[in-house]
Amino acid sequence: MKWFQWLNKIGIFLKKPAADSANAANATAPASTGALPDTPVSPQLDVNVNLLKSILGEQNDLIYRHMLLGYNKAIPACIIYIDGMVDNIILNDDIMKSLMLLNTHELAQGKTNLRDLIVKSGLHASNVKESSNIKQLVAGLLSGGVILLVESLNQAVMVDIRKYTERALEEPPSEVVVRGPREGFTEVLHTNVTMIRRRIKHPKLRFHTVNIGRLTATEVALFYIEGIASPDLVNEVKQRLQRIDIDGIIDSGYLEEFIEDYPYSPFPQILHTERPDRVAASLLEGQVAVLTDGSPFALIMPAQLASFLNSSEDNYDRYILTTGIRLLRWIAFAISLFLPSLYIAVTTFHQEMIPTRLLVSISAYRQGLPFSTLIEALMMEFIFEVLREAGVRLPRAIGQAVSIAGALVIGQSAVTAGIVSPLMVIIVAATGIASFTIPSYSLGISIRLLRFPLMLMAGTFGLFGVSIGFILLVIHTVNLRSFGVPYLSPLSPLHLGDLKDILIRTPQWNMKMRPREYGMRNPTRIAPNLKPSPEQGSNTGRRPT
Amino acid sequence: MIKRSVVLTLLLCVSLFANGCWDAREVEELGIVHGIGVESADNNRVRVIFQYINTSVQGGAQQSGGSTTTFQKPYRNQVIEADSIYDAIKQLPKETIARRFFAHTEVFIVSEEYVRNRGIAEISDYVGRDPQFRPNVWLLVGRGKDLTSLMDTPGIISPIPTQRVTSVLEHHDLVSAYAPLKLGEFIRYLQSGSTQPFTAIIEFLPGPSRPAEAGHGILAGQVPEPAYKLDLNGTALFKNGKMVGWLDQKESRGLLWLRGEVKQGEIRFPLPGVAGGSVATEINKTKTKVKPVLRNDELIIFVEINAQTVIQEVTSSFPVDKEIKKLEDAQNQAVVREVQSVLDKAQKQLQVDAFGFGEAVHREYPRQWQQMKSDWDEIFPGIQVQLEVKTKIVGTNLTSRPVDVGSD
Repeated sequence: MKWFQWLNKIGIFLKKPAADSANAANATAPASTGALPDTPVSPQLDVNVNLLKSILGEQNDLIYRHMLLGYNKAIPACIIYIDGMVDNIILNDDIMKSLMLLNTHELAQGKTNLRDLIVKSGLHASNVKESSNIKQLVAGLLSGGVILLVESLNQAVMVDIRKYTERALEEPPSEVVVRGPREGFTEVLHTNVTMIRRRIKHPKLRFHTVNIGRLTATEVALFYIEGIASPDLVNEVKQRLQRIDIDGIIDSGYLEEFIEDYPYSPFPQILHTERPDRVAASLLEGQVAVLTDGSPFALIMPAQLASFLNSSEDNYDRYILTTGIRLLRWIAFAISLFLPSLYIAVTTFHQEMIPTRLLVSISAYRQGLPFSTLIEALMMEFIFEVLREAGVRLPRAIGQAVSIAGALVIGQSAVTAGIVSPLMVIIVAATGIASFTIPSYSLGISIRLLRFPLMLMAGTFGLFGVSIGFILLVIHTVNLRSFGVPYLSPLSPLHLGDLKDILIRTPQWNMKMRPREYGMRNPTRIAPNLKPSPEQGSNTGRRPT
Repeated sequence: MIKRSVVLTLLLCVSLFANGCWDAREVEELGIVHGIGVESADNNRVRVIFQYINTSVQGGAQQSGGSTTTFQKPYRNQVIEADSIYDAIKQLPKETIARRFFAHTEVFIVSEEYVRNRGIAEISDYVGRDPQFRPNVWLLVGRGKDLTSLMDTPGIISPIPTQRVTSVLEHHDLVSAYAPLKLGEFIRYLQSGSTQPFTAIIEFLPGPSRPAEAGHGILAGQVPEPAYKLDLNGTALFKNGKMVGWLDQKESRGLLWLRGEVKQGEIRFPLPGVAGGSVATEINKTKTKVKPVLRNDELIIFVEINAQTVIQEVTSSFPVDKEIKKLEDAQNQAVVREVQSVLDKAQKQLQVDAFGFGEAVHREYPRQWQQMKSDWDEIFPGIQVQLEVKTKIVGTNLTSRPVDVGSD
């Protein structure tokens, strides 16, 4: 029976916001606690406790601790908290103990009032808030606060001593670096915020928190550095976030789809990262980061195509090496997008472009194959994607079995059985591996997807089709904007100065300016004349005599 | 807006499937023609030999089988007799399902008898017209035995006969003893009116290693010893689209000297003052300047040939290091002899300007050339050529003096 009641309550809960969603649209901020009574705290303890019980129900983990304050046990009070969300040691030692042993002499003498006594000297805790609004109390309680209700006091005291179990800081699995910090975000916003704070110790580092989601009331923090990030950009992001009215935000991916510019584009327009160092670096360039409670992925905006092809490690390795790696990545990007379609186009339409010996061996390997090159390529790419997906979702131990089966069945048997040509296996494998060099998973996925229409174009129109496809892609990406920043910048519109950190990477002392598109409020990054040499400094670099 | 764009995209996708790859051809369906031979047949007909690459043998797809498989030639020759070359190509689909594919054709051999009688214009017109042919197809004149059997003699390293020819032709710069032309250039000269086209002569001589009559009774994977020796030994000269004569290797070198196309090669000349002794040098670097001068209506062509050589072989005892000047003089004489021989033959005997003198005059005297152009055939034999040869021996390789038996 209890279950039914509970379900019923949830049902009502769910229905209500839907009913007055029209009103909610007018509200300045989406109501984070749904439709709760806006009643003030009553001076009677019992009334308040009963009200809270009627709102929250009798839950096992919801603790109502009745107690008498003061060494003479004069004042009845109640502490309410959710078990598992607060730090029990602090609660017992520093709150309950001090309250129970409260010296009420002065109160009896009339030198102080009850509120001052409790708030100013009774609570041995740092984060204390007062509220007389039941709605706020419930919200605070649900996000890990401790509520203190006292008889004859018409306001409640909220103490924030939240502490939940969280996983340890780990190396972000989706963005591995060889050289660079090893810590990644966790699911707890609080921890993540600290990680950024620790990296940028400047008073101008600002963040705004918004609660999004009627049921989840997920905390979302918007980070920027005042004076570097453009206020227009910050306002725009803020407004787009505040627009969202939804039952819940489970991961930052929810937010991304609500605030991106072009929802129909296959290209990701907001960068997501698990790395606090990357967020810090973006903030320094004038970008804005959005962190979501419950998600280890921070969103960085505005983002351009080039930033998806850059890894945070690019800034940690020496520039010569990085330049080579970046060029390699751009080439791999082109390969993963175009190689299968170029192969199809050239082998079915433009055989004159293939060197004679290569043509002869392609032809030899294709003798007696049942499928045309286009079908063969589509089939193999499809199977490759199936294998990849299977490998991602399966537990690691089984994942290996899949890859062995895939390698044997597709790499070996399909060729010996005369179903596909070995060259196609090479092409598919090369394409797959090239697509894994793209540091951003989301861009990699969209590139993999775009390969298929390009292959169809190649199979029907040859190189002409591939060029049409390429032109369409360019037209699309040139039109894309991410929070007002052209997606292809700094390539188009061309900002020569910014290319230093896009196609290649020049030394740190040479990158003097912030990105033109969003860092121009405060353009200078470093002091002049920092180029090192043996004569730098006063005595350093001299040959010892 | 969105709806319309969705419909448009769908329509576009449908059109992708509707047109159905009209132009597509799978690689394995192609009959890759690597070389073509043309010779005369009876009744004023043409015999065309198409040499296809047999890709199932050639491409290395021989993993299965081993020695049990029957030997397949890595090429296939298809011989068609027809009224003209295009006629022959049009008959191909009747005989084979493979689509003819000429984009990888590398060599075109026309028999000497054919080009002497029927001329080259017909072939070059067709080949220049067909978009499949590349302008960098080698054109050769075949001499000797009939082409049909010549195009059936594979080499050891290059098992496809025409591939054997092209692999030799690629290195024509190493000897500079014959002057091959690619089809595009040949057609350009043919149409120019001043420079007459020329190209190398290929001859197949019976190979000493194996009697020519033996068949191909060999095991798979084995390449037969070539029955014929391949010899590129001269240059055919054309006039008005027909072959009129030919130059031997010395004269061909002369032609290349005058055209400034000598890259490498051997110069052999007698040792000055030593009876029976000779020196061989290797050409390193050459430069030829052709400058026509019109003086009182008399055309003189000044030719200055500069060359640097390195001594490779000295047959008798000779103080090379002290007498280098004498050797250079002798070498100059040798080059002059080469050039003079071709001048005599082309100017006096055949009256064919293969040297590009006409073009040089055109560049130097564009206005006067307009009057000379039509009479160039008459003017050319009478032109005075002033030859100046300056060769320099820049090195003697590792030793400066020849090995002198028992002198120490």
